[in-house]
Amino acid sequence: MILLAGLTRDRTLMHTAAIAQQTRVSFQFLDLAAFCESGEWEWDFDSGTGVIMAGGSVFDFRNDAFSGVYARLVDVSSTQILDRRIWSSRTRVLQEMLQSARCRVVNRPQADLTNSAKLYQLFLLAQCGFDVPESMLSNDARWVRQLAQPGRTIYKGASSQCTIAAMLHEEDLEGLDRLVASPVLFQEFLAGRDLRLHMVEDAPFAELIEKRPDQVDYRFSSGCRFEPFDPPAYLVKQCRSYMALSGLSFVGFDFIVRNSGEIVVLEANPMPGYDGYDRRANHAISHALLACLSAPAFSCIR
Amino acid sequence: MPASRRTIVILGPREDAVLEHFHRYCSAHSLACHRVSDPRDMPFILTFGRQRGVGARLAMNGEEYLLADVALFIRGMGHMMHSTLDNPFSQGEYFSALWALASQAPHIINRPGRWAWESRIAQERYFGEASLLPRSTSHSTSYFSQRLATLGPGYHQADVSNVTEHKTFSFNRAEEQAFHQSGHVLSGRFTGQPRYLIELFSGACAKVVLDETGLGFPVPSYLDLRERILAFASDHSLQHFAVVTLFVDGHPRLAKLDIEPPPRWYEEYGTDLFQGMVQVLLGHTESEVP
Repeated sequence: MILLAGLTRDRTLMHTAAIAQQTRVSFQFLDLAAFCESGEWEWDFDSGTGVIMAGGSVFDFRNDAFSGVYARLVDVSSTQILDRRIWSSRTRVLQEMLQSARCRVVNRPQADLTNSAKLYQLFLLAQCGFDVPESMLSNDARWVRQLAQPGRTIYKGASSQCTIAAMLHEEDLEGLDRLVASPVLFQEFLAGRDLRLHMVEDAPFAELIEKRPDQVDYRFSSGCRFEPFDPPAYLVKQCRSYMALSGLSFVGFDFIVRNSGEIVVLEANPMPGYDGYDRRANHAISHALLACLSAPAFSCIR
Repeated sequence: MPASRRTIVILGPREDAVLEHFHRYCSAHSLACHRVSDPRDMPFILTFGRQRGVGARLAMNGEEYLLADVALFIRGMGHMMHSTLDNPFSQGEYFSALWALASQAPHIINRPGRWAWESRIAQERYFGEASLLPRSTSHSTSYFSQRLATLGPGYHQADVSNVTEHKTFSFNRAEEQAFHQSGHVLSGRFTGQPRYLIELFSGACAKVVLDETGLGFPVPSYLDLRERILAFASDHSLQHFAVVTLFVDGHPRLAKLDIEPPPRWYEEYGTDLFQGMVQVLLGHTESEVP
């Protein structure tokens, strides 16, 4: 039996649930919203087990009932009007419990927070041997105007909050005065194809994405072409190096494959929205993930 | 640039008493310093890439500095975001940006790491059995009452929630009532003998804030743990922190390594501790300032 934990409105988690159902992998679903609203729990951190109740279901971790947990615990407390503090606290409690759970957890909720600070994460990725893009992070229009090159610089959010990467144009320079309200991450525009590489433990699943030359963020672009990709061994080795550093066992790495062939890393997602890539890969990522979660008990790394 | 020419930047919420006292201390000793309580008042740029490596500049009150020419003292970063910025998006972006910036500062108290300014997970991994790990959590106060009945009279408590952790943490013997008042999110860390030793470190300066052990300071077994704590702090670039140790049947267990000690812990030794911080930040004592 495996446990899927997260929100019912998380399309990636619902995709995992659908594939588990199709492939007859036995699972329970722990609804984070139900837990925040009316969950009950008794948890012993020493043994990494306990009982959680939410939405009318009982999740009993005692006696090694679960071989693995797929945890996608997104803190959505800021969207709550009345119970913001309770949602935030309860999300944290559930994260703490799954962080300590004796069974395998993909990924342990507090294993790696560095995706919340994209430039900080780039420092770590560079340490693991990845090639990184020229980047600058600022809240000051004057300095950015000096260094940014309209038409050759893109911009995006500095944290893990969802933003759309876009090209900086000449006409955007005036609006840079608004940077004081919120810093922005600027990076050199790298012409080439996007590469998404999912690692499920040791196994790589890679896909090349070709977008139109004028497009920056393929996730929000139409007409992209996707094709499977066999990643070079050195790149997989660098990914493994980052996974060892971060303690993550399921990561979605984003790269640009430059026209010259060099591969430059953009970021490493500890909670990858992998469902689209998975559909095109005939569910190979889900199969690997479910196999990992269903594997017999092992001595886990907390 | 000589070390003594560095400018101290004190960054954190306006209402933080420790930051305010340190600012007054610096001003009284004619140390160049800026107090920043709103991140929008500190323009900065941080660059990084395969060709140029890391570079950073910041400005305060119209003066520009290289990151290498300032010494940062940061406290209460999350709280500062909430108290100055209305928009949750801006709070997240500023927190992330300052995390990245501070991680590259050559002179800083304290440097953020892989968990930003939260080092509890790293601590628990590092200290293992020598750490007083959280033992249980429940929504149910009766669950705790039952556990307390089986565990005896004394216990240590800490809050699991990041929202209230610093508000409810207490080095005094915790009362059962605290669980009931705080409701859903407490994690008990139980022990049969709540005897605390609290030591505050500030660079080379160390002061015992509380000693309930009755064993005389320093106990040899504490010195072993203390050595490990200092090695951990050095590995994680922590120069200013409090170590809360609980003696369980005479054996020291780390209850908390707190990088933002409460103001009351500074009351007796504030000047010595601030001197230690100046040494860390500027590389000298204030008596050596030209």
